[in-house]
Amino acid sequence: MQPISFSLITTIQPPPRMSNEEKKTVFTEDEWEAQLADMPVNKSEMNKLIMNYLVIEGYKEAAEKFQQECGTPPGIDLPSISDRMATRVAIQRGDVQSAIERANDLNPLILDENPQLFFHLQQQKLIELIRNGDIEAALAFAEKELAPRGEENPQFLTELERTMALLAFEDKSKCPVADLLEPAQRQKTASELNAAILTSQCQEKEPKLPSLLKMLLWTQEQLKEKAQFPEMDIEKAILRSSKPSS
Amino acid sequence: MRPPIHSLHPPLPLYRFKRRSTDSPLCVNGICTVHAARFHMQPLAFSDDDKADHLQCSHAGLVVTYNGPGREEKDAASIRTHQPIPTYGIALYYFEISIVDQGDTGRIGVGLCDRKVRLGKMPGWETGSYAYHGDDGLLFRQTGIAGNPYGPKYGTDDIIGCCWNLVDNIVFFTRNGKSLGPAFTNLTGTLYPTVGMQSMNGRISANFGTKPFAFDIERYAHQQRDKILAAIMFKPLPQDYTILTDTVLMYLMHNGYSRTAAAFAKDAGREQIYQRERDSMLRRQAVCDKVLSGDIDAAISDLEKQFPQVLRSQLNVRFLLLTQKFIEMIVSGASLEDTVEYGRRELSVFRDKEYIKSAQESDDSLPRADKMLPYADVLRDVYLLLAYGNPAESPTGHLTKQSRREVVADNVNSAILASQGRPMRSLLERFICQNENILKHLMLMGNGPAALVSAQDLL
Repeated sequence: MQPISFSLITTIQPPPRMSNEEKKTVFTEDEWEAQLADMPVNKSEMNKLIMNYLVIEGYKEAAEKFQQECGTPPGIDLPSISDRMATRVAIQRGDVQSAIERANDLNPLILDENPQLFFHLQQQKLIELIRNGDIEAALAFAEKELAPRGEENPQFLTELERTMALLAFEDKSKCPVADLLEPAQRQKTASELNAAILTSQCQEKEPKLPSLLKMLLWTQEQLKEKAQFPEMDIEKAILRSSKPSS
Repeated sequence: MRPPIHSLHPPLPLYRFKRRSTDSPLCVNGICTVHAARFHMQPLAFSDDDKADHLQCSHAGLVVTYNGPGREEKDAASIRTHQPIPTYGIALYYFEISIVDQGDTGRIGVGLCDRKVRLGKMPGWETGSYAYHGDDGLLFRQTGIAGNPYGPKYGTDDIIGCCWNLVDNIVFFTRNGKSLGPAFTNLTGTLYPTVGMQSMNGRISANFGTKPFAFDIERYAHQQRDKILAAIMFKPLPQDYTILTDTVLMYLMHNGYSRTAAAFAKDAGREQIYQRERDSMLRRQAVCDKVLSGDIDAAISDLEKQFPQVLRSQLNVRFLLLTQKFIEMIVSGASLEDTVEYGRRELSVFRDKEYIKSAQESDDSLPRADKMLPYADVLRDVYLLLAYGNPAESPTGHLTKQSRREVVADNVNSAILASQGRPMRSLLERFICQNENILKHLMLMGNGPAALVSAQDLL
């Protein structure tokens, strides 16, 4: 099952370049499936693709386990991943300050050049103080760090107001802005910092897996103009394979 | 669909069409493609045998001189290259003609024509011929009756280039390194570079890419490529981001990366799918782990207990396991008698065509005959190991490596899935195969854009 190399292909007679009026080539399902079945795929390349996804999306634990289970190296400068993941983990456990310090150690420009990100980190810090019930510290922090920024930017002011509303309720779960206390809020802040660090390192922010799917959408569209073949519906393919099987 | 047979050879590149190294140019000899293609046929010189009488071809087909009277239309003379422009696998084709001497009248035409065009006419005047003329700056598309205004006149010392852009299927000309814009659209067929003259003492020299071009075709090629990549990246994915997480999770579970799958499912919030597939994965993984650690006996007895139909119905898998056991015996230094005796007892049957045939016929679920492994060849490779004191140094030493166990484990995994009527390939693998197969067909059909992208550019 050697792959068809180009030099081999050139020895077989290709179909002539078709004009638009000519009939479309038709590939039957059996024929197409047989071609797919003969197509070898290199597993270590697929592992790299998966690792890239885990690393860029910051699935720290999964990436570590994946490296152990299949030996695929993370593929990106290791210290930068661990720093990035450490900032994510720090925010996820509520330690915003150490995430800020880490980001500053990596590159002070990350926060200097992203006032919005910096505001969101400070806001997260305030949320954590409120969560911990440290009202006095929360108020002092809000007054010193957040209020001046709120004056500069109406969007920041609105967000500050929402956050301060947390103080108005004894039972936080009844508070209309309770979502700020959800893990998703931490996740959101962590992702924003994650993307900013990636940008500062001139690394891709986007994993490669979505690009592969986009390319598949594109190639299918191109071939549709010239041929009939079994198309893959990206959404349905997912549904099919996630169906519970007996 | 029949089960894919994992290659017994060292891992093949993921991508069918090998990507040319990223630092090499996109255009070589006027042909633009990202694929490491070797074209056996491409225009590299004008043909001394494929020209009209008044032309003389010299300098290895790169210089053409007109020596006719050049007065009347019947004195026109054209020439074609030896080989046509490749009909597939390319995105752009480009060549340049330098006007060394425009001659008396300056009647010179540069363009493309097919094999059937008579060469006693100026290019562009016949069916299947397309050209830009120097004496009047007109374009001629398959007729000499009326040309269309296009560019400036050209003559001595001008360099005229011609590019067939198969991405948009347009032809444009260049003059002294500058594009003159679209000239022809929707050309079809197998075309040759052509030049024609009707001008006494006219002389041109051709550049088919062996020297640098006046026009920056490389830059143009990159623009075309960026345009295509942008179009791909612009494709919107379905809003539901779980397509990505599910693809990843299914891949991890399909291949039995159980701890990664557990950690990922938790963090990605897909624990439901994980729980549903978990038991099946762990049972498969238990068998595969035994193969990976070289304990083939345990793997076989596991299979017999848990997935009896696999060994019964999948001759290839049985063969792979029994052979692997033989390899493990050789590698672990089991006594020679035991090893040889095992080989006679378990493996010799696979040399027996009658046995294989009857085993096939007795079970419909067996893979088709043409997809059977080449048992005898594999056995020959495996037995060669016996001839070496250190089997790893044998010419077939790769069989003693961990990678071989991985191949066997992958086959076992697929066979178990197949026996349960599940997809034998992970979703990710199917995405990749679909994409590669389409790219292959696009290339063979002469689709220009497909020659400028490979999955490697994105992955």
